[in-house]
Amino acid sequence: MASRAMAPTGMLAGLRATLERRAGLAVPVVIVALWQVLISVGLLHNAAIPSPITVADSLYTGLFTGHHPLFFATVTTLERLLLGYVIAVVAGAVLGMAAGRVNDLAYAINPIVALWIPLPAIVTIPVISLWLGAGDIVIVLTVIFSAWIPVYLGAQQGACSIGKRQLWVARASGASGWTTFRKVIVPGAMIHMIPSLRMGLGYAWRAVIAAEIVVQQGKGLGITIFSARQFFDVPTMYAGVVLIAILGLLLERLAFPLIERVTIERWGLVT
Amino acid sequence: MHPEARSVGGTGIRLNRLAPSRRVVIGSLSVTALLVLWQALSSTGAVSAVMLPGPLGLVHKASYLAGFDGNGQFQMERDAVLTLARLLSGFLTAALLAIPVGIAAGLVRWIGRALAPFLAIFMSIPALALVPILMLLTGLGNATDFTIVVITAFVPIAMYVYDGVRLIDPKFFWTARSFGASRGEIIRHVILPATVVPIVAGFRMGMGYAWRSLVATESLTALSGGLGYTIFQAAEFFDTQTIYLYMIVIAVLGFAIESVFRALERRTAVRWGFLSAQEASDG
Repeated sequence: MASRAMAPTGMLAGLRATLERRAGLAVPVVIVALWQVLISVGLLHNAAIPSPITVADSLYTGLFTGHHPLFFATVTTLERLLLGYVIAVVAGAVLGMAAGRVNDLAYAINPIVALWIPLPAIVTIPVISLWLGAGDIVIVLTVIFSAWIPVYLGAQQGACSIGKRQLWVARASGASGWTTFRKVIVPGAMIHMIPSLRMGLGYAWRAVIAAEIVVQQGKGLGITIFSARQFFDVPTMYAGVVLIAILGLLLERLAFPLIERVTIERWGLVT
Repeated sequence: MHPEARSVGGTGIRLNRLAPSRRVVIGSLSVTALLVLWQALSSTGAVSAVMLPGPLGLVHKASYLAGFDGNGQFQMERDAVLTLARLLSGFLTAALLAIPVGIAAGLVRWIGRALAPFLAIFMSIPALALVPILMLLTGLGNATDFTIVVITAFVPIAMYVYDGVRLIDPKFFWTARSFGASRGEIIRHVILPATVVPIVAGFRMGMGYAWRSLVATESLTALSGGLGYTIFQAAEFFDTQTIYLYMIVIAVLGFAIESVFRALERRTAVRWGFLSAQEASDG
């Protein structure tokens, strides 16, 4: 806009202003272009660094041609993510709301939770594998163990912050314990829970990729990257990381607002 | 507010003064009960000692691995020192890079716009996905562990500092400028004090991410040693006592690191005027 208002003599300044405004797009594009040029002219020559075009090609091939390996790896990973996240949310929310209403329960659980918080989810894998062997269940449990923490803490804080008056009103209108839980505590806790649901999804996403890379069995995006390394298929490794970055951004920017809208509308929290 | 911060059942601050004793009693009862149940399960043979070694056995194993029984080997200390050395060196590097970058991004608009997409992208890539590529680029040794710590700590610190500087009330700048402050004086007297709280918040976040990623990365970088390396090594040899023991060691160390940063955060929040000492001690 500023550039359009410029007089012809200010064109250079206008271009500069446009570049500055679009720096968020311009800088990454320039970096990728520079990377491609350095490789094309032969200045950058390293077997571990493929050119952006090779990576894009490998991403396209993996997603849309042949046996669609990258596409199916993505589906598998997202299935694990979703299953683990849903279980973590239900378990974390129920336990958290209970702990938020019953102080003694919170006193009993919180010391154990406090030790659990800084425990990297990956470290639980050897123990889970010891008990349950290998396979999907190890990855899904790692996701659950990681994602339930923020949900639990958010639900606890939410349930704790519900005003006494709302509970009095519910009791005075003759609501049963279950109705009070469903109509007062759950919606009341929900407001605090939304940021922690988002945090939980981020944790779950990190955990599912990390667990796949550590477990190294079956299919999935993390496994694709790791086995590509063993075959020295460098472009596929980079394509996998690019795909993970895109999916991570999509989860945060698209999937979460969707969850947010559904829960807000469902619980009537629209202000 | 911290997610952990809570008043007692909406009854306000007054009851909180009486509550801790009950909290401590019930808390220690529940932990003790857990330990007793755990020991009972393993000593009665209800669960095989390989699957679930009892806590007493773990204490014994701990004294062996820590060299307290005079065996002359200090494996546990060595692993902990290795891991902490990687963590601290990477974290310091990340902090030294992230603070100036974050301040520059907050002050100069185009730098901020250029930095934002990189922060968003690296926030959404789980650090472990970068490990296979880093292993190709830097080899199987310390370099991969160090780089992962730098990356995972850099992103949240830079993000918090960037937001902290960007959101400084412009009136502070106007005031400083109208009193004739130079650029250096503005940085020293306006920007730095205003960013202390976001810097410490970013430190806590970054340390949390770096700690998790480092332990996981150690399990993959085969030459490295360290807590994460040893726990997965023990899994290969079915040394279940070491698995459980190291899980506890990692949890306790992580808890200690987290506590240090939480105390630091609370203290800076009081010192730089965002919380009163009263509020901080109640929270």
